[in-house]
Amino acid sequence: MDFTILLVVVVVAALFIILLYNKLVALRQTRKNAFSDIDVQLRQRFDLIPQLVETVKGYMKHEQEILENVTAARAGVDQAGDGLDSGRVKAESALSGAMMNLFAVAENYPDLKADANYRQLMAELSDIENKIAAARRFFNNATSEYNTAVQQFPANLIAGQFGFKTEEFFEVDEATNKAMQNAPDIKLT
Amino acid sequence: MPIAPTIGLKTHIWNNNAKSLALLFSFPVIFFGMVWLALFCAGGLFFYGMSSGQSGNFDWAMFSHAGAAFANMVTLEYWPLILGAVFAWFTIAYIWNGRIVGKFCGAHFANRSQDPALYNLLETLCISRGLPMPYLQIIENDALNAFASGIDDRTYTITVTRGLMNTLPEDELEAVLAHELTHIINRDVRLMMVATLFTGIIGLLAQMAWRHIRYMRFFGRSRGGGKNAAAGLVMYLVVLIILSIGYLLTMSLRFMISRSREYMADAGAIELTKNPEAMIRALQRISQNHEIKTLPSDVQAMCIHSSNAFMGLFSTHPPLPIRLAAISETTGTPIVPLPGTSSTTDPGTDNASAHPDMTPDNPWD
Repeated sequence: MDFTILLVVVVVAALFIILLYNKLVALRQTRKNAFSDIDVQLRQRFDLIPQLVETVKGYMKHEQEILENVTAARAGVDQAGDGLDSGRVKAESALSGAMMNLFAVAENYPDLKADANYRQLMAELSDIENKIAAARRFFNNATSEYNTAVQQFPANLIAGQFGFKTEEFFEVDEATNKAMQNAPDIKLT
Repeated sequence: MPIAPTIGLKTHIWNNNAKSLALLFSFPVIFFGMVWLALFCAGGLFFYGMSSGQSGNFDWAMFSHAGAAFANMVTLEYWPLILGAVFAWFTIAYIWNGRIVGKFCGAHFANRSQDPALYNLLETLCISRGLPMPYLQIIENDALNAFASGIDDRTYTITVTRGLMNTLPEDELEAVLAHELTHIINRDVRLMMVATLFTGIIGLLAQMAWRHIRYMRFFGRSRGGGKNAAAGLVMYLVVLIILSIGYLLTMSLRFMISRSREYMADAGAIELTKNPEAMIRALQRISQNHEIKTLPSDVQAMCIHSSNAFMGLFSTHPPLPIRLAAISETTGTPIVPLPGTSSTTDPGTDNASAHPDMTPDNPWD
């Protein structure tokens, strides 16, 4: 009789742990998928930059260092690797900053702003920035949900055992964030 | 007073899923019932007509006995055939539902290269919720409307009219897309599609039978036989019963589909876009010119806005002022009437100041 009770307790406990485990796995997977959404957009941006530099180069003869900054920042992203860590986030932020600089200076070149190629690139880049912002929002939501689940009471007992730990947010510093939000507003007329 | 949604979103989604399932499972039962009833009438008439030569007055017991016997016999004999028909329809509707609706309204698929602005708006919305991108279709029509269709991730589709794309500024178009996307997230779309494609088909069959009977009665009268006319009248009445069952079914479907889903979709859209003002403007603009004359009424029920049928009793959408009031009240956004007859003005001119990103390089300018 005692044995039966013990058995029931063990089975219920096991079921509970399985459910918790599966929930944590699902949340971690959502976060991972959310990151790949950001990643796709970041890569597209990365791929567009050589074109952008090439287009701008002809017009901005006297401000080569701004272009060099963009190219350097892009190389920095390349070196930062594929994963999501503070190094990558920092590199991407630096690239955003360098691009914002470029766009700000481009305002002084009416010919450049009238260039069909440049306008096309700007439209694409502003769309990408919109998507990065959207993807980042979803990613941070997913991360927050995952972190909460990992830290909550019954789960935190098993989370460590199975290798679930709180994860980093994709955070950009305030200045870059502002600049990125403003990207679509750049006047093309 | 605004009728605010009184149930939570999760409950709403759960209800929708449960109703869809219930409808799916009741479909074969209802179908069998209708077939049996039709056979009952046919058999009753046939055998009654054969045996009732002697007496003039109608004998219901005899009629029903003959009818039931015939109906039971045929259904017992041919039930695999009926079941086969049911499953054939299930398969067709499941696989082709997107195409069926698309064909009904003459829509074609949109892609990134031809309509990048529309495509990107929807893609950004999907990314912000981590959703797979639904298909995007366009109806080449000047009316302003949009609807969502599909029953699973593989078939979810959002359809907009060309008029909507041309008339609405970007932020309003985004609000409309967000509204439709919320219908997909909330599973309203699935319920609508199941109701229309699976159960609604019975109402359609009933209507077809009705037409057929009217046609037959016309010829019966022209021959002018006394007994024939009596039998015709009985058949007429019985079909009327079957028809009213089909009609009741359609009506109950209308009631099953909660009208609060529109408020929820408006709310969800605003949550997605964070722009209640654009949602209000979009609804105002759409209400001025939303009728797509070629669209079947079942599809109109799925649209972002449709006028009230029969004093709002059977309408699928709440009246616009109440919707606007609900948005305005919950978000604290004042309702500003659209300036003049701005529904047809070029969005690039009168809204340019309010929408700095409406630049002339929009593909439809």
